[in-house]
Amino acid sequence: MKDFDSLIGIWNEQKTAPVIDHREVITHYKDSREKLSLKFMKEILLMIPALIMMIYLWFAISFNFWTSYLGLAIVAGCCIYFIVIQIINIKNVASSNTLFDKPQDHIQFIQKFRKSRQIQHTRNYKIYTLVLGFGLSLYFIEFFYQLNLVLMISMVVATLAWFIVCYFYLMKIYVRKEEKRFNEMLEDLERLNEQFKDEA
Amino acid sequence: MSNKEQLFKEIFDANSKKIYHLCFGYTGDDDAANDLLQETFLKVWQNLEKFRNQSMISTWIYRIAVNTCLTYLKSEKRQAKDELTPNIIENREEETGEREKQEQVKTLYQCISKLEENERIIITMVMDEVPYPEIAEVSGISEGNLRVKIHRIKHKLTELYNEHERL
Repeated sequence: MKDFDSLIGIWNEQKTAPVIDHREVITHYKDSREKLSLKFMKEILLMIPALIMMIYLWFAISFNFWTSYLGLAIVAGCCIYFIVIQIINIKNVASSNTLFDKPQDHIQFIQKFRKSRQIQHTRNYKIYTLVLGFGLSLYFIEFFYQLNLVLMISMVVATLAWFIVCYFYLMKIYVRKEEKRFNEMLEDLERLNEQFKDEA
Repeated sequence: MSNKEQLFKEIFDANSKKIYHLCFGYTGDDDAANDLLQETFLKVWQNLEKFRNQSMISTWIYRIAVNTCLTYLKSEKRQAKDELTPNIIENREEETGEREKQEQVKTLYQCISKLEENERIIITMVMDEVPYPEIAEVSGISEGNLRVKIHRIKHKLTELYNEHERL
């Protein structure tokens, strides 16, 4: 039978030690800063070709229908929204510093952050898909009047089928998976939050 | 070496071992403990200017380490392992007495991994002889309540250890 003082004796005998030194930390810091900048660059580089394409279509093709211009603007808006949200997220993660707060406050911040991410990943993504679909539909209206019947029907069917699969199948699987993951995470955070309440 | 680097080296040397114990006690995993230690000191390096005039720098480092541990568990969904993977027994040719001691250390870490998350954090600080007011400051729990908590955790850990030894 050992008492707690004996356990402290055992603890003091341990040879466990970190395998990293201060130089590795500094190197890692510099690397991670570069990685973050690269991530920013990647997001911006993704946005540029998409926007160039939209601007090109807007000016190069003389559309007869106003719906084509509106559709194009909506699709471009969706692209910009998607990229801006990605960049805001990266920036928020990089600049948020609640690590100095009390554990309970830090956990509460993480809970809030996760909840907002959950909304973004589920509700906002649904809205995003619907708006993108609406924009593309408007854009295709003019094509329907200019293409032959078979081609037009094929395009309508293919576009509709793609949206049905995306929205009613892929999206449902994605949302279910995300919600399960987030709920588990929130449960864990809730448990930790309880543990750090100032009650004996 | 610049002044900043020199200061960081001093802070790292003075605190890294204790912070490593905290991370190891929390995760029960050697690699994860090193990752967490690195993440903690990365934040220290990043905020070194803020620390310059702080008298209780170790409190802040502990605070960052605790929060990093809590976030790490959540983001990676890692749980403390029953089977530890440390390099505790470093040299097989060591004397039997030494080996036994390191086996006891391993058992102790296994018992710590069976505690709740906040208990793991508090008890590793207690065993590293961090003063109670500092533990209270780090954990955000009032000193009175903390003393009661520590009493319970000590009892729980001792029971777990003795139970393990009886097996």
